Amino acid sequence: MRVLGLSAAALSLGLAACGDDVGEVAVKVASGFTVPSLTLGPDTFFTSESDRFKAKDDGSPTVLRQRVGPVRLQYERVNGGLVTACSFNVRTNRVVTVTLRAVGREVKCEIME
Amino acid sequence: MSTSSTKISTRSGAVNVRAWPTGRRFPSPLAFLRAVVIPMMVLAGALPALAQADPKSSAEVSGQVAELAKQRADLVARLKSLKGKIDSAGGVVTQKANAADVARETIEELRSVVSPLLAAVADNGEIAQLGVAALKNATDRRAALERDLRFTPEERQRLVAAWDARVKATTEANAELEKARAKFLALMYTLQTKEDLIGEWAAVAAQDEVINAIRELTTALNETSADVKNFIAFLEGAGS
Repeated sequence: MRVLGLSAAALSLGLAACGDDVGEVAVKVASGFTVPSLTLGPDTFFTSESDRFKAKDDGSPTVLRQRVGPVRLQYERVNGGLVTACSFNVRTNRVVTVTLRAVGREVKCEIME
Repeated sequence: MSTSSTKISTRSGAVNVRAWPTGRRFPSPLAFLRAVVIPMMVLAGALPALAQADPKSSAEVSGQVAELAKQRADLVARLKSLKGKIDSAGGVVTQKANAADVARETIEELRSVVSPLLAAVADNGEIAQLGVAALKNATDRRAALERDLRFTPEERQRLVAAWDARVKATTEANAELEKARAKFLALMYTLQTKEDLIGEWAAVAAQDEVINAIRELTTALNETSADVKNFIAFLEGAGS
């Protein structure tokens, strides 16, 4: 009975996650800066839904649709490890524009909501 | 001694005026008063009634009453219309004279239309995935046929060649779609990021509507005032 309850809860969470509440994240790179591979996904302890992508180097933004909620943008180190550049919130029908800049050896985000 | 009297009829009654008998000396003041002054005063009192203008005929009176009723009905209709205009102007002002609300509503309306389109043309959106799926279908089929033993080597070769052409055509179609998607994506993104500006211009346009509503209301008030004034003048002159 308990297993059935947990399954129902998991199913309802899954269905809720399939809802149409999405916003967009536009990732731009400041001129003269070549960024490594990036990942964008929900800012949760455990997630497997991150989108891996390369930012465009012509100045135009990479626009990704993203489910609403807290989101984390990460970049890949040379050794393959992921480092969080910034976290922000995605809201329904809204675009969050993130401009990435290199400050020393770190990647910094400028977020415009 | 003989006297003669003349009867004069007036609206307020009949008056007898006696003539002074001949060959008689002048009477005492009291008798003079009784014989001349009092009848004259009674006659004078009756004169205004005699001098009164001709009364209107009943047809003229009923015509005037009908005209008054018509003018009153017209006026009531105009007053009702004015009430409608006041309510309408009030509605426009209530709805449009809040610049912050107008801007916010415009932005929300824009977002609800643009955002789904932006999501569709996003780099990980439906359209981008559509091209990938189409190309994958062609390349997968081509690869499968290369090792399909149901066909002779010649048949396989022709089928693979056919799929090669389709892979190339799909790639070209995808490239065109990708260009169009990127262009539309840039436009949708610009539109979405200009939402504040669009909202502010919508608020400016709404204020113009408010100004027009106020001007129309002023005109309606002035016109109705003239109508009421004319009706009052007609009312005061009625029956004369």
